Amino acid sequence: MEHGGPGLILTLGGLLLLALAIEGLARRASVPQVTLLVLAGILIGKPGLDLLPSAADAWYPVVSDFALLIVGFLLGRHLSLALLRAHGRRLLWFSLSVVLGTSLTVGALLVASGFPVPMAMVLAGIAPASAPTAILNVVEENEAAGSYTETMLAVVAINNALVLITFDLLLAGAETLIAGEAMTGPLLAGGHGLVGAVLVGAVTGLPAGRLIHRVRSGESMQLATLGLVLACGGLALWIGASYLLAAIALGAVLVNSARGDDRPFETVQALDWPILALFFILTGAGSHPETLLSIGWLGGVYVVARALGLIVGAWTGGFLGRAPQIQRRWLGPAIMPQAGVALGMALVASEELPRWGETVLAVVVGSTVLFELVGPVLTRLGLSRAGNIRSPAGF
Amino acid sequence: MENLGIVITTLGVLLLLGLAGDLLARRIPVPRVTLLILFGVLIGPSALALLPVQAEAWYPLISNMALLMVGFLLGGKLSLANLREVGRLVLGISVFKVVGASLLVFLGLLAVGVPLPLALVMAGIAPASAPAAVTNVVEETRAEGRYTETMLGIVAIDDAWGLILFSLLLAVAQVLAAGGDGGALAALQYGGWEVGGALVLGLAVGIPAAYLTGRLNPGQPIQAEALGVVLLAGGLALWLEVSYLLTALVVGATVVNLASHHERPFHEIEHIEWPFMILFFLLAGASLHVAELAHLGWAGAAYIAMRAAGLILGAFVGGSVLGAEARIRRWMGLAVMPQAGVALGMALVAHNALPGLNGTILPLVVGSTVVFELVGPILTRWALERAGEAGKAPEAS
Repeated sequence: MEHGGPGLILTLGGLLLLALAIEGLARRASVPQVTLLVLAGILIGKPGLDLLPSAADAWYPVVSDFALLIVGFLLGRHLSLALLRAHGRRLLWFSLSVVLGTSLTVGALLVASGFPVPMAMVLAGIAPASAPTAILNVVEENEAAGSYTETMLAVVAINNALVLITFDLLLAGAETLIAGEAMTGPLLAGGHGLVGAVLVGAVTGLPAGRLIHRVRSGESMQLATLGLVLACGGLALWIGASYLLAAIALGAVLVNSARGDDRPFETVQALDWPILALFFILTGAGSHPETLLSIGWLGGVYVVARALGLIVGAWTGGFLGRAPQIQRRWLGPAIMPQAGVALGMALVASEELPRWGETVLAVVVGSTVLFELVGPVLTRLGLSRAGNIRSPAGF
Repeated sequence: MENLGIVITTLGVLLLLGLAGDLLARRIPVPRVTLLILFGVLIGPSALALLPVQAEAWYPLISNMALLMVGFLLGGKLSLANLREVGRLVLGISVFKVVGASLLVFLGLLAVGVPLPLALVMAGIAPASAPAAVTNVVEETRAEGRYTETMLGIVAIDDAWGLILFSLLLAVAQVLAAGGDGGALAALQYGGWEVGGALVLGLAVGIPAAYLTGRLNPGQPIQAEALGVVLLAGGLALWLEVSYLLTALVVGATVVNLASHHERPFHEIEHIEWPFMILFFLLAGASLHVAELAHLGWAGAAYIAMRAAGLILGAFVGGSVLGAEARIRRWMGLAVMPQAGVALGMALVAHNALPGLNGTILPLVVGSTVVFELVGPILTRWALERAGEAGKAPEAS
């Protein structure tokens, strides 16, 4: 009975009711629910009262995979060919400029502050990663819509692919520096992760796009979509490819081949909240805010450089792509949230570079707490400044 | 990570398989429950053994969650307005059918020479039905009307009677088997605790939940509330070792009768239950031990025949006594034929309580549930069609 036993079901029920209370509180306090959910997680988790059963640690990977798969799928929807044709150049400038700008700023400032070059390179690779779950949740919570929202979500989707590439390049560079000879391991792994993900997304998405209009609405559509997303993500995980990217690819293939059939996305959207809420609470519960204090000078430089890089990068990208003022100004702050994706990279880096592994991990673990709490507030602020939130949250 | 990949792929493939079963069931006259369970048998260890080993570990979780949702939804059918209309019939027929099945099984088993304690226990298990399968057939055939309401009411409450009767008969069987009365007292306590505790717990969770329901915005909050309340109640019930199906039922009945906007939480659960139900039926099929069928023998045949006869006769007599219309009298016994998890749970309890029977209970119940779970839904569907209520509900959008 351990697996289906009282503890698990009771805790799930309790956490959902907690999320419900927080949702109500967030409406009234005009704070993004992500921030409050993560805070609540910190409070009831290991860092705080330690109320969760130890089994909760074991579900975190499952919940987090589910959440990222769902969010990746929904993000892929924003990569429609129509949007890419109209704004492709701008989106590309934004993404390139944000990712490269942030990497450069973080790398340069860390080296200038006297930190070892390989460590700076790895952190520079991790810095541009954003938290698609948090960003998408803020959009859904506020029912935001408009060209700014579209641009932001498309940039987040594209960034995820770009970040993967730069991270692997920088990691390979760092290993090469240390070893004194060319190390291509991360590049091969990265190429495998990238190509595999796109392949899995295409293999599952193309037949689905042809068939999906035949599926009836309601229960059948629910099964079809969930089955598809899980099969796609599971396959990607299985072959060691990036499952987030695979889900994005699936969503993108589907939105472009299903001829305007939006039902799969709407079906997932109707179901995503409980799993995202659980994910945010468990993220908080598993976080280590105390490392924030211990990372000191290094952490301070990293946090400042990442924020600066995102803002300057987005501004430059918007300038080059001739984006409206409001997008140039707010896109950087809007993609500030950072969580699971960055942590995953830090884990890889810490295995590959044992010498600096612990420090890198501590910096990322500590700073994501900060970015995940403050970031959603900035995301929301950007949405409301761009006039993409029609009614103020609540009432 | 590799493990998780397999797990998630399997879940995805199972859901797509469920979709295929659903599509197939529209084209052939077999309920999808039966098809799903057959698929499950096919991919399970009894046949092709395609499922990864981890799948067995999820079954308890999936089945608990699925049965909790089913219990909650069934409880939602027990609104006072509904009960005023069909309450007398529900109460009357369910008592008669429980007693009928129990009595005939008892006599039938004695007639083929089964020892008295075993006959008593099997008589206690016989009336249990499978609410998940029955409600699923109703949803699938879009049945609606007086017959359907009565049938859902019966499967909702017959678990309560069934549990009471089971604990009584188990107590008697223990006295007979052991000669002492310590065990019997424990069995009675077990029954009282299972039923009484579930009532108290269901009310304790249901009343605040009903209060909360009227105060929430529709959509996501209600979804979280409904799911949270159902899981909370179920988790507490499992922890306190009271009947979690009954607990969920009482929560549903409390919410439907006390809350304003009471239909919303049920819609939300209906909206998300389907993937769980698919997995539940597929995994239930995979965990059926088809090989046990061979060991059923005379006792098994007598049990199956007598349970079927008892249900049909009990419902008929009950319906006649209460003056129900012919279609209810005639077709109700067939409709409640499916049997699964509840009966297995009882069999496990009895197996532990009566070590003297040397494991004769489990093969009997396990083998017969294979038959009832596969054939039962077909009978339910047929009965709904005979009663003229299939396809009466508006199609879900």
